[in-house]
Amino acid sequence: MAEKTQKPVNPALISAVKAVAVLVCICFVCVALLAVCNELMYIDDEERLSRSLGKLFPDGSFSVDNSFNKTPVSKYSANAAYGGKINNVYKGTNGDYVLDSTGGGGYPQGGGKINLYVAISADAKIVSWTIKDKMDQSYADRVPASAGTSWYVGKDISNDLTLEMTGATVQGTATAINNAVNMAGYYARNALGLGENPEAEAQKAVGELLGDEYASYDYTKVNLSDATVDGTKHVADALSSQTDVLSYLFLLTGSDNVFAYVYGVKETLKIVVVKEGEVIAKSDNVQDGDEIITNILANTIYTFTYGSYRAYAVVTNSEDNVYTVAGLKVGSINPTTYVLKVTIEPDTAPDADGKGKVSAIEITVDGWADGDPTAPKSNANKLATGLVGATLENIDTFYNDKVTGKATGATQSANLIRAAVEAALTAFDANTASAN
Amino acid sequence: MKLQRFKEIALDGTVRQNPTFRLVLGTCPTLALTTAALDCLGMGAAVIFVLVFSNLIISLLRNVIPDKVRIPCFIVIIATFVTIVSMFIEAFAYSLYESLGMYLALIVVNCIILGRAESFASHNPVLDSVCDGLFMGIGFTLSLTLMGIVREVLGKGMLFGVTLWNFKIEFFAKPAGAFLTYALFIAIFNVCYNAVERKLKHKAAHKAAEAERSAESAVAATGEEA
Amino acid sequence: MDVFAIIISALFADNFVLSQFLGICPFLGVSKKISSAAGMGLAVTAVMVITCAVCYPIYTFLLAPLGLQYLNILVFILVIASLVQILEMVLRRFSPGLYSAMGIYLPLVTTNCAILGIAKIVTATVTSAEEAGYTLDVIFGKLVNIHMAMGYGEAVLSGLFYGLGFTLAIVLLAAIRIKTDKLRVAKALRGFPVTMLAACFMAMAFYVFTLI
Repeated sequence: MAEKTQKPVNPALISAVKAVAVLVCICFVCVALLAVCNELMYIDDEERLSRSLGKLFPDGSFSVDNSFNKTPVSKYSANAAYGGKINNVYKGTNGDYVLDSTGGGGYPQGGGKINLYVAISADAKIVSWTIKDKMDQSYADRVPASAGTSWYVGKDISNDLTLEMTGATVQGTATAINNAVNMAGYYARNALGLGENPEAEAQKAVGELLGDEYASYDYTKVNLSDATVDGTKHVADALSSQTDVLSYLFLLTGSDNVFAYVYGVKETLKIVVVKEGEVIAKSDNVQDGDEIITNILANTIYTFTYGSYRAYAVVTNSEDNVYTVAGLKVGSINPTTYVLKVTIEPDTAPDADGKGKVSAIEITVDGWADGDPTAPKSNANKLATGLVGATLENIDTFYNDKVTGKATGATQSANLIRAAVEAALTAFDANTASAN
Repeated sequence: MKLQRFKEIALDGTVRQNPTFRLVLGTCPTLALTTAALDCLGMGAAVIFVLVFSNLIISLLRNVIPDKVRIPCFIVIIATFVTIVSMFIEAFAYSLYESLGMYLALIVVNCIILGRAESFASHNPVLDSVCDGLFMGIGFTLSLTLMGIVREVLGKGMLFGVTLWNFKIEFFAKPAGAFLTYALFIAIFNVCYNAVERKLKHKAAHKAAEAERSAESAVAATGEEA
Repeated sequence: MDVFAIIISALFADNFVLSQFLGICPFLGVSKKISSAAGMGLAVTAVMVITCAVCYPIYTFLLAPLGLQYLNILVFILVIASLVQILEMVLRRFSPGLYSAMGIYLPLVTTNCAILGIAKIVTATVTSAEEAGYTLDVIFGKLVNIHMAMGYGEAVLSGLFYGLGFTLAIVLLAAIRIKTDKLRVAKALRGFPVTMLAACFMAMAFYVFTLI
């Protein structure tokens, strides 16, 4: 025992222990020093805000009006269309506003966000913007440094602004920035009353026309502009007449569903409200035989309910049994409008009564929204082949047999495609019935 | 410290071992930040701070730090001062902080600093090491700013952020321009340096010969006297 | 689409060497032969991927939740230095083939330029950069940006492609230098200046990709 304890310790071990001890000591002292420095020079949120304000208003003209409540109005503080939300709103003593706005649609896969400060002047123009937090936009550096004082600057926020830059490495971030700016614009229009808000005015006009009976209904805008039905014509063009251009289509949901068509702009709005294929109200400047009424009645908007989802489709053209159908984006669902060319032939089965049967489906405008749903795009597009052979009678079984499971995670896209196909079938059957 | 030694260190840092043009060290900030002369000065100041303090501490601890772990120890000390300087700049000079960006944190891997720690501060007395850090830093700052002025004037038509004229050759503000400017600067510096060196050597040789001659004559004189 | 963006950005548009000026020392120093350039590039790529994989969780799950972001410089640099040592030991012990292909360049990843600097003073030339490099800055530069990346996968993937971007640049330069080193140029331009001129032309070519 005694011999063992007295055995000399390996000198290499001593020097190794000493080396480690010195290194650890140095690390310890350095970390302590840094902690002290961090305490001394910590930059708090208020300081960060004032720095950002300095960037937004280099002339220092903006100082925060503390009497203004910076918490946003909850009704408008989030909007799925921009994947965004408003975190804070600051009003300046000069009347301008700075909105702390988050926008979505960026990297990765359209799900990433970015956080901006957006300055909007009292006369509804974008003054400047700056990035508050890159969040998950790891390529935010690809956006030019001068973008904050050049993109969007001076533009009116009355309408949504369009993307300022495209390109493989920058588009995701640019989209997120675009959404954040539009989110700020949306809030400024609706909650701060800045700029012109034709959409809100159109809603108000519809509400006045319909009166108390529909006062409790929710308005949802039907997305008309982002899909073309035959290369050049938009869905809106198909529903417009020569003289009157459809500017808004609202879906009013309450105890039942009605569609409100709004034509024209500002003072000269023409409004037609349709419920289940019948006009239930129209503004005074619309007469019964007008082209727009025949147009509306010819292009019925079909409503389908699949479980908790409701899908809408409109047939915009039919030639030689080829129906061009748009599955409409309504409100904030993620896929945008799908346009399909559906070929329908009479069912040759003995008891089919000449009803329609799908013989081919071609997706001409793909409303797929990347990233959300998370399923691969091919899942939804399998529907295009999966529904061939379906009739109105058996489309349910078709959908369940051939599609459910395959379209996992893409239900909303699947529903739009299915609604479009069903609308085509319904239109075909109605045509054959009237021909007979 | 003797005046002669101080002169040596000062001359080494700024000219003879000029980190940018002679040693070609710390190339990353040299190429990246020389689009604006003001950023160069800011970067230079940060590097001087880190160099002086890391040299100071490393020189103080030179007998304590075991040889085996010297590099990790140096790295920790340098990283600490880089963090402090970047905290300081973020707190008090935010616009500089933004324009230096990631290159501020990259001072930690700047070859000049670890190079001086390893080759000078770890076996020289404290005062010498601080002076070395100071003059190496000044040499770095001067070269950086010189390149910055050239690139800013040519590439942006500006000097220290003030617009001089509308004429600009954007090439010089781009990465390719950085390489070209740096290459030309090294070449020019080398030509001048070698010319001066040759002259000095010539002079020294002349002086030595003269001294020899006078010594000889002195010897001769003493010989005569004797 | 996103992977495409990462690849384009890492290989060309944001190329570490030619647009962010990271890793210039080995870029100029270890590019005399294509084989050594490729070995260096692969060593850097390997270290970059591994350090991304290790430092990302350290930052996201340790430093950020504890509010210790200000320690990132210190922690990253220590992690890189130790990982390179470990990687070298592991390669030498278990994979002699890989070790001789790229492992011998691993010490160069952390070898400091001090040695380079002293060597140059002693020989009084500015062309003796053959034996040393200092690439910590490439890897460190990647890590400073890493916490902004969203997911672990993206972080590691971008590490891989930034490493490959470095490899691409250094191998290309080595190929060019086979020609330029034989050229008769003015004495003042020999060595670094002429190599940098070659890099200048490469940077011009790569600049095109930033317009994508």
